[in-house]
Formats: sequence, C-alpha cells, structure tokens
Amino acid sequence: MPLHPPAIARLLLRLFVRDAGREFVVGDLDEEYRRYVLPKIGPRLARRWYWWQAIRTVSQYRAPSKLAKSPQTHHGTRRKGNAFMSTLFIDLRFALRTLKRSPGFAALVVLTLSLGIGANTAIFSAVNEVMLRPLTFADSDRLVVLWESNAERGWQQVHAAPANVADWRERVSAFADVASYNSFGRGATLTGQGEAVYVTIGTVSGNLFSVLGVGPSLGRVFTMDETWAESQPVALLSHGMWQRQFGGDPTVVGRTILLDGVSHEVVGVMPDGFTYEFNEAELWVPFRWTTARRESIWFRQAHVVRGVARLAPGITPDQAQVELQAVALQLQQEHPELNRGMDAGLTPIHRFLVGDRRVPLTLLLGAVILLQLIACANVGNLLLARAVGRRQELAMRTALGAGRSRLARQLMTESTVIAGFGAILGLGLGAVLVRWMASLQPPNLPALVFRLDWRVLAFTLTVTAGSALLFGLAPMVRTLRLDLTNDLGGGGSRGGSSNLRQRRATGSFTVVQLALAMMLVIGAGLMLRSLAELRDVDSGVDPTNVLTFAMTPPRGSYPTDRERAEFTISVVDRLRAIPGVRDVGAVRRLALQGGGWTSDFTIEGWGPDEFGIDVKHREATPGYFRSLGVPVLAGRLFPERLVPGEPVPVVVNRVFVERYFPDESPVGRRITYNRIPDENSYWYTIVGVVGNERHRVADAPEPEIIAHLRGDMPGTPRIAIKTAVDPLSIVPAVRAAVAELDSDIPLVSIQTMEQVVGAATARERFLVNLLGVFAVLALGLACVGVYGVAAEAARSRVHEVGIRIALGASESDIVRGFLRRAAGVVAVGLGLGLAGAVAGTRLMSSLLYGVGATDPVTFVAVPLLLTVMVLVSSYLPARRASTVDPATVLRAE
Amino acid sequence: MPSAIGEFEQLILLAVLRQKDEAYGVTIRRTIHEVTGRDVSAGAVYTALGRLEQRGFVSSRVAETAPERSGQRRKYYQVQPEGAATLYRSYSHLQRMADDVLQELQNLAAQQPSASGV
Repeated sequence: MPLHPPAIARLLLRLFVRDAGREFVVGDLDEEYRRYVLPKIGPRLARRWYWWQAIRTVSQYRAPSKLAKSPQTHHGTRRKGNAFMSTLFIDLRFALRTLKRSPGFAALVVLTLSLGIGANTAIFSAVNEVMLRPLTFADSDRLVVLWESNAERGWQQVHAAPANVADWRERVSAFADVASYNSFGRGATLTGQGEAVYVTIGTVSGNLFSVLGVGPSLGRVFTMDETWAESQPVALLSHGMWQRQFGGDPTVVGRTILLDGVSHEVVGVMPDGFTYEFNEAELWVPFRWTTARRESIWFRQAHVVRGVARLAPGITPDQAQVELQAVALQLQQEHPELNRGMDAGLTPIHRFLVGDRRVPLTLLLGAVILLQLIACANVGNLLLARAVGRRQELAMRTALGAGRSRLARQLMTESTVIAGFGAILGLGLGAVLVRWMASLQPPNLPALVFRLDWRVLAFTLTVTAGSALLFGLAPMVRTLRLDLTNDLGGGGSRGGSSNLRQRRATGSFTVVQLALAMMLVIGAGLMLRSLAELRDVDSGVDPTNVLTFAMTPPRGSYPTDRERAEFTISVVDRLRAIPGVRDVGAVRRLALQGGGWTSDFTIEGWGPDEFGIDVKHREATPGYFRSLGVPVLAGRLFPERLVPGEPVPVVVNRVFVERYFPDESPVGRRITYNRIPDENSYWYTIVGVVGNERHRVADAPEPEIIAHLRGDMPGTPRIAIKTAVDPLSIVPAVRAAVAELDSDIPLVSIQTMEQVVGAATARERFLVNLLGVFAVLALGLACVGVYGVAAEAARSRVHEVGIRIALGASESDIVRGFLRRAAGVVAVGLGLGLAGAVAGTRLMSSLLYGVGATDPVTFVAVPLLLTVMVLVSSYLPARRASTVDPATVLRAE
Repeated sequence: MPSAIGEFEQLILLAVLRQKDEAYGVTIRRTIHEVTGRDVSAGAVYTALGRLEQRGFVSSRVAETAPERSGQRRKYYQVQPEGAATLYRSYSHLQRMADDVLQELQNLAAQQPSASGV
C-alpha cells in the first residue's frame, strides 16, 4: 500500500481549488495525512480520510473575492464579469432541483445510465490492463518476437529450434541482438529454504534481459556466456519469489540455492512488476546447453524456444522480416532434411503478448458499447417524453424572454448532471463487475483488477460526455422547435404536427434500440450455442471420480531420466494401496491440457519416401488409460514395468490407425521417430490400439503414439487416480503416501479431472456469462424503452381513441391499431439489427466452435424472441388505452 | 455593521491566537478539533481566513515547507489589532449578555432529554 496521498483526490483538489490558496490547502492536507493520520489509522483508512477531506474542501472552498475589498463596486458588474460561471451554477442548481422534484424519474435514468457506464468501465479496465498498459521493457516498440512456420507441416508461428535462432543472431544484420527463452514454464523443486516448494522456472538465453532492456533491482542479470553449460549454474529471482522465500533479504545475492538438488548461485533479483509471458516464472535460469547438446540433431530439430530480437537502429520491422526470411531460406538449403519448408517471421512484442486475448476483449468492448448506446436511447426517450410534459413550462419561459439557446443550455446541463450521477454510480458498479469477472477466473485473461488509472477515468468521462450529448440532443431539438401558441394553450395532449414529430423521434429511438439489442443478443446467442457444442464434444475420457496432480522428482536425488521415471512408477504402485483408489497411472501430457511433443516417424518395412510427419507422442503407464476410461480397441496395453533389454512397447490411437493403417492392423509392427532410420534409430513395438483423446477441446483428435513412461521425454509427469470415493477426499492420504517415499517432493496443481475438463471451456463460459448478462440487460432496457414509448403513445392518443370508440370501433380494433404500429417499428429495428449482426458477428468467428457466424438457428430464434417481447411490451399499454370511456374523453373537450 | 463577526470566524481567530507563532492550516484545524471536537474542512478554514484577511483582521506570511508537504509552503496567520478589537467586542458582548442567565441556560439545557452529546 503506497504511503503517498491518493493521486486522484489530489488532482481533484488541484482542479477545483484554483487560486493561490491551492498550495496551502494541498500542503496542509498532505502534511496532516503524513504526520498525524497515516501513523494513527493506517494506509487504508488514511486514504479514505484524504478523499473525504478533499471532497469536503472542494465543496466548501470559496476563493476570497478581490472585488469585495472595494465596497463601491456595483453588484451588477461583478455578475457580468463572471456571467458564464454564474449561469452555469444557476443551471446546475436548477437541474438538481428539477431532478429532485421527480425522484423516480431521476433514479430510473441514472440507474439505466450507470448500468451502461459500469459495464463499460469494467470491460475497459480489463482492456487497459491487457492491451494498453505499456510494457516495462526499454523501447518496447523496437522488440519483436521471432517464430517459425512450416506450410508442409501445417505449423503457424510455432516455437523455433535453438540452432536456427543462433543462426539468426549471427546472420540477420537487421537485429541488434537476438535472445531466446523457453515459454513452456519448467518446474523445479526448491529445497534448503525450509519446506520444499515447487517453483516455476523460466529458462532463457543469457542475453534475454539485456535484449529486453530490463535491469535487475539487485545484483546483475545473466551474461551471454552463462547460456552454456561450461559456466557455473546461476539464478535470478523474481521480486515475488525474493519476498516470499527470502523475506526480501538484500544479502541474497551471492547466496547458493538448491534447485532440483543442484546448487545455483543467486546473481540478482528482478524488479517488482517484471513479468514475461503470463506472469508465470518465479525465477530464471540460463539454458546451460552442453556442447554435446549443441552439436546434436536435437538442437535444430526440437522447436522449443521463442526468439526475441531488438531491431538495429533505423530498421523497420518489415525490413527485418525480409532479411529474416532470406536467412531462413539459406538455412533450408543448408539443412535440407531438418529445415525443409521452414519459414520464419516476426511479430511486434506488444501484439504478440496480447495474443489471443485481443479478440475476446474487443468483442466484450463492442458489446458494452452497444449496451451503452441502448441505455442512451432509453434515457433519450425518457427525456423526450418529459420534455413534452414540460412544454408548458418551457413555453412560458420563452414567452417571458428566455432565449432558446438559453433553454437548450439548461436542458443540456440537465443531461450532463444526469450523466454525471450515472458515471459516479457506474464507477461503483464497474468495481463490482470486475470483482465478479475476476471470480470467474478465465484463463489467458489474467490481472482482471479494477485499477482506476487515468486511462480508465478518461474513458469513463468520454463515455459519459458522449452519452450526455447523445441522449440530450433529441429533447433539446424538440425544445428549439417549441410551438408557442400550441404549447402555451395547454392542450398538449392532442394530435397536431408537433406530436407527430415527437412520435417519429421516439419511434426512431426505439428502432435503433431494437437493432442494437438484437446485435448484442445474437452475439451472446452464438457464444452460447458454441459453448453447448463444446460441452457436447466427446473428449475421449471419462472425468468422473478422477484426481490428478503433478509431481517432479528432483534432479539432485534422481539424476537420470530413468531414475525419475522409476520413482514415478513406484509412486503409482504405492498410491494403489490407498483405500478408495481403484486404479492409478502416470502420464506426460494429460488429456485436455494442450501442447505436447510431436515427431516424424517411420514404420519398419516402409520405403524410404514413406513416413509420417508431426505425430504426437506421449508417455504413460497402463493405469492411466484405465483410470480415464480410454478403451483398448485392439491388442493390449504395455505392462506396468518394463523388462530390461526388451523392446519398449507403444500403443497408438484410433486416428493413427485410420490415417496410416486403414486396411491392416498395426499391432506387432515396429516404429521409430526418424524419417529415414539409421543404425542409431531406436525401434519401438506397437502392442495395441487405444481410443482417441482430445488435447484441446476444440481440436479434433490427432494421430498419437504413446510409449511406456520410462523417462525418454522431459517434462513433469501427472498422476491420475481413479477413485471409488470423492476424489478430493483422498488428497491427504496421497500426500502422506508420496512423503513416505520422498518427503522433499511437493504435489502441485491438484485438480479433479472434472476441473480439468471445466478449465478447457473456461474462456467460452466466461464470455457466455458476460455476454449473457449484457444481453439480458440490453433486452430489459429495450423492453422498458418499447413499453415507455407505447405507454406514451397510448396516453397522448387517448382523445383519438375515445372518438374512435364513440364512432363504433371495438376494443380489439384499437389494440390491433396500436400493435400494427409497434410491428412496424419492430420490423425496421429487427431488419437493421440483422444487417448489423451479420456484419458484426463475423469478427467473432474465430471464437466460435461448431456454429457459423451466421448460424441460422440463432438468427431465427433471436428475432422471434425480440418480436414477442416487443409485442407483449406494447400490448399492455394498448389494452389499457382501449378501455377508455369515450364519454369521459369527450366531456373533457 | 462592519464589525459583525460570525461564530465560525470567532473560532478561527481564537485558534490563531492559541497557536501564537505556529498558526497555519493544520494547527488551526487541529486546535479547533481538540478543543471543541468539531471537524472543520480545510476548505472552510481557508475561506474564512481569506475573508478575515480581506477585512484586515489577520495578516499572513508565507514560509518554509516541511518534508511532509510535498514541496508546498505553509501560510502562517497572525491576529491584527483590528481583528482583536472586533473579536474582543463580539465576544465580550456575548459574554455580558450571557453572564446573568448562564445558570438558567444550563438548567434549561439539562431538561432536554437528548441534549447531552450534541
């Protein structure tokens, strides 16, 4: 919590205390805040105290009038000198009094507006946080992220191979420097600092921080030499890690910590707020590639790093892109096998980091702007109706000499006051809405905090001012067309041309409102349909009663991959003995968690040109398939433990068989992860076929090879436990069982499989929830609007209706007449809305699954729904109008 | 009636007197709060001080800053003879008017059921 006074309250003081007294007023409050209030009641209450004092001071401060010193000054001159301000104050006071006279009306319009403004502020604060807040890197517009693409393999903007990045660094002169990092977020166990903790580590090239242009807050960053294994292991702490694990101790630099049992020297601490790629890493270590690694095929084959480059001075991103592609072409020729079809490209770092959060946020921003326009149309309608009611008052004031511009200004002031109240209430609503949004915890939309910085405030003010102008215009125009004789006459409620104009104006408000509401509801409807489709997707696993967690055996105690795999399998064995456990398995890449490794492969007996590319490969123990209900379709699963010396068995999934063995069984064939096998190729034996699993809920299953988990692959294995009881109830027993084998291994991301499945559609649910709320609000506002207009029409036509009934029209004739008018408005509004929706929903097609952006079901159901709602909203007032007593009406004549 | 002076202005003038050479916004507000329990806003205090200065009742000088004031200076006030005279007159009038009825006033006030806290 900051110790300085709240900046916005201070700004308020500076804005409103305008004369020489300002310095002393602000200084006094600052002094009192720091010297007496803060030490006594703490920062939270003290900030509140400051706000309260600022508001009171602003409202009670009057600058000493210079003219008052000379008593001979004529009173009139003083007013003239400040005519604008004094009229403004009179208008303001009058507006407040007018609103106070009809509190119901005032509450309705302020509430309507605050809904829109609140939704806008909330969504905009998220947009601000994700898309607008400047990055903490030096000259971040000179930074680009580098990726590779491969049309042949269907790769788009994938991770790059370390060897290619190294070549780019050497050859592309448009880059001042190129760094790389692994964005998969490796985990490691930190021991020797009290209880063992699992930490997320970012592995980076030594020059990453200098390329990003971020210095440490303590110690130093890495050097390029530290990228390689020849140098000593070093680590950089994040600010949060430093605070949590080391209590912010400044002597931490130079100390040695144990990561997976390996000692690392802490060389520095990164500043508070430094994050890179989704806030994950808690500390950073260099890659420490060995010479053998760098010379192995892996270095150019494994697409595991992102490149990030700083452009050389004077070079544009386009120029750099051209040169990068030229170098990629050279590399294709130099490494025809590994780099075949490998293209490269770059994305400005800001756009890259915003990534796929841009579309949903833009969609939500669009939705709330629609909502605000609907709210404005509603308020405009209400004000218009009221302006008609105030015709006599306004006509009287005109007759007494008030200029029309003066009246217009008065009305505009009223709109602004209404909008101002709406904004204040809206800011509060916005804060509530953000809290609710954050509680839905969508992935990829982190940091949903309500932070009221100047951008959010400026946006809210713009929305408010724009709204006041929008909904204030119609009543103002109406006032300027005041028809003195008619309006002063007091008839008011009878036909006439002004009444017709008025009806036309409210009619067009309603049309606009319906059109906008329709666009919003169709958008929400499409998202809802998409979510329903996603929920119906068969992910290939049965998530009921399954507990999953991740576990990394530390490298210090289990140095080789084999030893770690062996330990994992012994954990699996031990867990099986827990009461309530039905089966246990381990896997690297659990279903529905995305990502994973891919390789090319060939089958023994295939010709030299026959190979498969980019097949997914994973590792598991047989209990994994049983725990998640993945069926064995042919052959068998591999045994729990491998017999040393025998070939490693693998299973393949159904899509694999369909694609590569359409006519025969693959069981018994031998397979290797090389396109062209040589004497070093390792051959696995296919022993069975299992059902398909999805790795992303929206992506169709891909061909997969799943080998026995024996430590051929890096990464943290996940354990899956099928239980006969509530899966979370066995967590303590699981912890105890793992601790029995090794007390230094923390369990991480403990989730039921149902939670994993839920997380897979979290983004869609988040959007459906928000769009749903906005759509319901839009529908509600539109109905209130339609009802208001219908009621007003019914009221103003009571005379006409009375005559028609007297002339023999039946009640149903009257109702039908009203409904016909409403139907006309609906038709135009819905027509416009449909057109708008067709244009608008195309922008969200990348978010949809299983439904088109012009999904016929949605495009028929939503207009029907709106039609019914509009007709119901206009039927009620029409029904009331049709029951007037003609005698009463005619007698009033 | 150029010499009329309101209750709030009396409070301020008395607070300035009490603080002697240390009378500026913060100390004035705190003195009033300590003695009367009233929390007056800085806005009201400066508005009143501005008026009093215009009428020549107080004088002011701008002086050094303190680290807590984020670089803003202080404005110290001092009661002028004219202000003292007016305050004295107002206050002594009031006191003389009250002298003989003070006891009765107290008795009357005590009869009001909820008069205690206010």
